[in-house]
Amino acid sequence: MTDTAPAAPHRDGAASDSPVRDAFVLGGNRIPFARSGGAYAGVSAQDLLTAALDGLVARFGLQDERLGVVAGGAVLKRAADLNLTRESALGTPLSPRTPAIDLSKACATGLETVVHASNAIRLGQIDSAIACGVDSASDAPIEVSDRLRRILHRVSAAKTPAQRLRALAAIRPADLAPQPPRNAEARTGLSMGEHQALTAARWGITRQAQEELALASHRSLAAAYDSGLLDDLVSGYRGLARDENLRPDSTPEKLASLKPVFGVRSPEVAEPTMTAATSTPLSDGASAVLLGSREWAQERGLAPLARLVDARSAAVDFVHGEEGLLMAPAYAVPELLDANGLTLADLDLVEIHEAFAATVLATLAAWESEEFGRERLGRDGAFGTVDRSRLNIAGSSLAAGHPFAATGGRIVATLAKLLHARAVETGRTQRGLVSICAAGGQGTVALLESDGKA
Amino acid sequence: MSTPRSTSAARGTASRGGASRGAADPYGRLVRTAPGRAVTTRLGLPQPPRLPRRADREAPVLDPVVVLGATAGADQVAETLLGWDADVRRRAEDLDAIGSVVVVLDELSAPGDLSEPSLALASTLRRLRPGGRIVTISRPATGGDQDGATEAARGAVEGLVRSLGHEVRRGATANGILAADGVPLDAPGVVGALRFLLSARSAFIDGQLLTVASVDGALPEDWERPLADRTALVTGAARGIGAAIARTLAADGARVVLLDVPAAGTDLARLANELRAVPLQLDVTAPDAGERLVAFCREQGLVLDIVVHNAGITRDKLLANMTGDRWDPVMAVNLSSQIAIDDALLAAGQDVGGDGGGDGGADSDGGGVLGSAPRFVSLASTSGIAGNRGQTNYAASKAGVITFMPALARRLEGVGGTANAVAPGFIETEMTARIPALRREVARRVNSLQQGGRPEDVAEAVAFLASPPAGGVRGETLRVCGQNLVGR
Amino acid sequence: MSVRELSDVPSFPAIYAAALTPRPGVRRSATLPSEAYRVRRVRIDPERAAAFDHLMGGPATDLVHPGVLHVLAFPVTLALMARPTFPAPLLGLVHLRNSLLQHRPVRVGELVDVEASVRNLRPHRKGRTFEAVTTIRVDGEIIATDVSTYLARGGGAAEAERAGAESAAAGASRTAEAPRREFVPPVPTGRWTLGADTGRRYAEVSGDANPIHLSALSARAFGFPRAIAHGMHTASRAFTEARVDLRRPLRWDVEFDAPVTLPGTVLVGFEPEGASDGGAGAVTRCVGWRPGRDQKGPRRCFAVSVTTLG
Repeated sequence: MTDTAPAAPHRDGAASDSPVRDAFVLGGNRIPFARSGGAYAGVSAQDLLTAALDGLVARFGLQDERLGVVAGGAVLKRAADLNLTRESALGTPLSPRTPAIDLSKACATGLETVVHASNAIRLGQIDSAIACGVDSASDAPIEVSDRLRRILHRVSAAKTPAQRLRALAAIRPADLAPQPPRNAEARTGLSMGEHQALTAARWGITRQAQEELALASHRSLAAAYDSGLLDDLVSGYRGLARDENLRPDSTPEKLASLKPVFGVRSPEVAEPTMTAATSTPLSDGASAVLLGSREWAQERGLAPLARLVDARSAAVDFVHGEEGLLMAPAYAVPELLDANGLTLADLDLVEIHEAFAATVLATLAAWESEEFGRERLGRDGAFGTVDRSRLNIAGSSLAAGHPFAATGGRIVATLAKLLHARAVETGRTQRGLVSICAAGGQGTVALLESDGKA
Repeated sequence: MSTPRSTSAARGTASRGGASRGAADPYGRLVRTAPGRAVTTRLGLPQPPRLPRRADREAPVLDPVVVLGATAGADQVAETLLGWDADVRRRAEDLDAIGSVVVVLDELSAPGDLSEPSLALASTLRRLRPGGRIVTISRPATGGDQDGATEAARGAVEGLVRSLGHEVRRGATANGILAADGVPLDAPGVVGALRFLLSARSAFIDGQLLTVASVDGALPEDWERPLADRTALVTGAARGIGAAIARTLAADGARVVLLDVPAAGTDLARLANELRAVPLQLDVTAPDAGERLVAFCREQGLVLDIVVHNAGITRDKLLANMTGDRWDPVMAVNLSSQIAIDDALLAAGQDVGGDGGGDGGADSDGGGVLGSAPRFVSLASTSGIAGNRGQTNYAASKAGVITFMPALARRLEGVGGTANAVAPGFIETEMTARIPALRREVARRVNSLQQGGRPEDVAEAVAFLASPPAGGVRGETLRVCGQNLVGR
Repeated sequence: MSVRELSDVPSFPAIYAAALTPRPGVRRSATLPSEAYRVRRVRIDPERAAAFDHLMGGPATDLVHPGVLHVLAFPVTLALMARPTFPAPLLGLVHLRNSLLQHRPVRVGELVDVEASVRNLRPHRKGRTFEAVTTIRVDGEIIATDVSTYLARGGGAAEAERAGAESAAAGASRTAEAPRREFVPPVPTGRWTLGADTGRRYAEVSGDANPIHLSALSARAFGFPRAIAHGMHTASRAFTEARVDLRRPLRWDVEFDAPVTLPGTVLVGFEPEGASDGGAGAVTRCVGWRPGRDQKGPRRCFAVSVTTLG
C-alpha cells in the first residue's frame, strides 16, 4: 500500500518504456491430495479443479471478476475434457467472460501454466491470471484399442449398410478390451519408476538415503500443517482435511521393511532400492495459483507474495540411454541460474519435485559431480551443492502425493508464501527455485523472489 | 397493511425455501397431507403444524394484532405497532380471527392484577390464526428489590407464558418480554424484541421470556436490513447452523467473515462465493487462533461488529466410558476457544477509526478489530440447560457458555457491547440426522410445536441478538427449541 | 546368371501354399539356383509405408524405412526359395543375419525394380547357410542392396561338415554362431512388450504371413512351442528408434540369436556411438535380449547397428 515507495530495483511495470513488467504470485489454493481410488473416487477431474478454483475465488474475493486468463491442464485427460479448464472456470463465480486455456506437459503442466500466465502478465497482455492444474488417477480415461478405433471410423464412413456390416465384421473380441492409460514411456516401454531405478543405480543412490528423504518429506509436510502454514493454501474437500498419503508417524524401521517395487523387473539393476515409500503414489487433486501485476494486486488490496523472476525448460535423450529420464532439470537449473547471474548458494529455498526420492538425490548428485559439470554442463567443474536445510522445507510430493498437473501449483503457492514470510522476517530478499521433472525426459524450472514488501 | 419491501430482498429470502423445505422430517410431511392427517388424527398421533418462516410471512405482524392492557406502556406499544402499518386493535370482541395478541403487563403490583388481562387473553385464543403470536410485556422479578406482592405478580407472568406456550396450537407461539424497571416500552430493546417475537422469524421460539435490561441499542434505519454496514464473524460457518447464520446475517445486510477449519475449506469457500463473504480457514482451538484472527482482520482491514461463536462439536459417550480424546476437544472447541478468541479480540481493542472511516484499523502496528458496540453471540444448547444422557462433555461445555455470557457481557458493558447465547433444541441438521431414527423421531416431537427446528430458526435468533435494537439484551440465553419439554 | 522376369510381386499365401504342397518325385538340388527373379516397376505404396512406420512407433515419413524395402523384396526372394528344387525346404529356414545397404533415400510412391538371387551355400554346425541378395534399382541405378543370411537346419552334409563349420564360425567371430557364450547385457534403455498379436500385426504391414509368426497354434504345427516375432520386425523397430537420418546413405546390420517368443518382452539397450550429431560414421547400436529368469541367464535375441555413411 506504499504508493510512494521507490520502484523496485528490478524491472518494474512503472517504467512504461519497458516492454516487460513484473508478474507476482498473489496466493494459492489447493484441495488435499487423495490417493487414487481414495477420498475422491467417483469425483471427476472437473469437479476437483472447480473445487480448487472455488476456494481461490473465495479467498481473494474474485467473484464476478474478469481475469486475463485461467491457464490450466491435466495429464490424464478424457477426450471430452478438451476444454477442461474453461469448463471448470465456468463452474465458478468468476466472470464467464474470463478466457481459459488448456496446456499439457506431463508432470510439468502445473508449473508451465504458471510460466505461461506470468509471461503474458510480464508482457502486459493481461493483468491477472489463475494458473491451475488437476489430475485424477481415479477418473483416468480408458480408451478403445487402436484397431477398434480404426474399424469404428471405417464404420462411420461407410455409405451402405453392407459396407458398414463388412467393417463391423472385422472386430475381433480382443479389440474390445479397454486400453487403460499406459504407465510406461511410449518410446522405451519402461515405466517411470524403472527409468528412475536405472538413474539411481547410475548415481549410486542408496536406499537409506532415499528413505531419509522420504521421512523428511512426511515430517516437514506434517509440521507445515500443524504450524498452520497451509491454512490458507489448502481447503478441505469431501471430508479430506490433509493429504491422504501423508504419514507423519512413519519411522525408518517401517520404511526399511518395505519391499522394493522398481528395478525388480529390470534385473540389470543389481540392487533394487526404490520402494513404495520412496516413490509417489498415483494421486487425485487440484491446485490453483493467483497471479497478477503489481498494479492489479494493489487495486484489490492484495499483497504480492513473490515475483516470478524467470523460468527455463530442458529435455534429455533418455531413449538412447544418454541421460536418465527425469534428469532434465539438472540441465535446466544451471541454465536458469546462469541467465540470472546466480548460483545454488544464492538460493534461500529450493523445491525439487519428489517424483521419487531418488530423483531429487540423483539431481543433487549430478550437480555435485565434477564430471557431470564438465562433460554434461560444459562448466569448469561441479555445478554446486544444495544446502539440504533449504530443500523442500514444507515437504513435497512423496508426502503430499502427486496428481501430476496439480503439483506445480502446490509448489509455487507454498514456496511463494514461504519466501514472503522469510523476507518479512529477515528484511532480506529471498530467492527460491522450483524444479519439476516430467515424463518424456523433460523438465521445467522457475525462479521466484520475494522482497517481503506488500 | 404489510410493510413495503424491496423486491430484491423478497427474492433473496424466498430462495431460502422457508416452509417448503423440511424434507428431513418425513412424518411431518405425512401429517400435512389429507390422508396422512386423517390417519394420524385417528391414531391420536402428534399433528405437527406447518410453521411459517420469514419467507412465508414477510410482514412483521400477523394482523390483526390486539393490544391488551390499559397502561401508558400499552399505548406506547400500540403506537409502535401502528408505526409498522399493523392492523392494531385494543379490543378483541368484534374480531372473527386474531393474528397476534400483545399483553402489556408493565404495571402489575399484585397477583390479582393478572386476572383481568389473562381472561381477556383467554377469550382471544380460539380465534387465533395458525402461526399466531402472543407476546406478553412485563417487568422482571428483581430478586427482592420490590415488595413481595409485586415480585409475585411479576413472577406469575412466567408461569402464564410457559404454560400458554404448551397450550396454543397450529404453529402459534407464546413468549414474553421482561423489560427491566426504568426501561420504557418504546426502548429499542423492547421494540426490537417485540418485532422479532411477533414476526415469523421467531417461528421455533415458544414459551420463552427475554429480558431487556437497559435502554441501550438503536432502532435500525431499515428494518429489512438491520445489519447493513455491519461486519459479522461466524465460526463453524461452513455447514449446518453456521452456514444458516451466515446466510441470515448476509440477508440482513451484514458483510460476513466465515471461519471454519481448513478441513471444511471447500464448503466454506463455496458459501463465501454465494454470500460474497470473506472466508478464513482457521482451527479455533489452535493456540494462536486469536492472534491469527486479529492479524487476519488487520491485514484485510476488517472491523468486527458481530462475533458469532457457532463452532461446536459433539463426542457423545456415557461418562463411565468417557476418554480424554472425547472430553477435551469438546470443551476446547465449544467453550475454551471462545474465551481465548474473545480475549484476543478484546485485547486488540476497538477500531479507533470509529464508524466513519475504518482505515485506522489496517495499521500494521495493531489497530483495533472490534466495532464500537460489538455484539457477541454464542451457541449454547438445551443440553446445557437440562442435561442430556451421553452428553456430559457437551452439556458441560454448553452450560459453561451460558454462564460465560453474563461475565462477558459485563466486560463489554463499558464499550457498549453485549454478549448473549442462543440455545437450540432439536434442529434438523446433518448432525441430528445421524441420531438413530427412533430417538430422532422422539426428540422431534417432545416440544410444544411437535417438530424439529431448522437451522435458519437458530440463525434468526442470532441475527436478532446481533441487531442494533438488541443492545439492551445482555448476558441472556435465548432458547430456540419449540419449547422443548426438558429444562426451563 | 539368368534373370527371370516376374510380371508382379508374388503373393505370400501362394508361395507358402506352394511350399507346403508335397511334390513327390521332385528332388532338391545340392546347389543354389543360379537364376535370379526380377520384378520391374514395383510401386512403394505410401499407405503401406505409413502403416509400417506406425507399427514401428515412428512418424509416417516421405522417405522410406529400409524395412519397407526389405518386405517389398522379400516375396521375390521367397518365390526363389520356394522352388521345389531349392536345396532346403522353405519352412524351417532360420534368418541369421541381415545387412541392408542403402545408397540414396527412397521416396514413398517411387517405382523400383526388385531383383532377387541366392548365393554362398556353406556348411554350418547346425546345417547350411546361404545368402539371399536383393537389389533395388531405379532406372538401372542400384539404390539399395539387402543381404539376408539364412540357416537351413540339418541336411545330410551338416553332420559331416560340422567340425569345419565350427572353426569357420569361430573365424568369423560371430556371436550368432556361439550362442552358448555367456551374454552380459548392457544397461537397458527400454523394454518392448510384445503382445500375442505382434506377429499378425507385422504380417498385416509386411505381408509375410509365415504361420510360425501368426499364432501359437499355427507355430506348433511347424514345431515351435509358441509363435515367434518376425526378426525384421524387432530389427525395424530398433532402426526407427535409432532415429537415423533417412536422407543419408546408410548401412543397417542385424544379427538374430534367440527367438523372441510371443507374447513376450525383450529388454533393449541403445548405445549411440561416434559423432553424436548423427554425421557420417555415426553408429547407433541396439541390443535386445530376454531377461534372465530363475536359473536361466539372459539371452541375446538380436543386435542391430545402423551406420550413417555420408
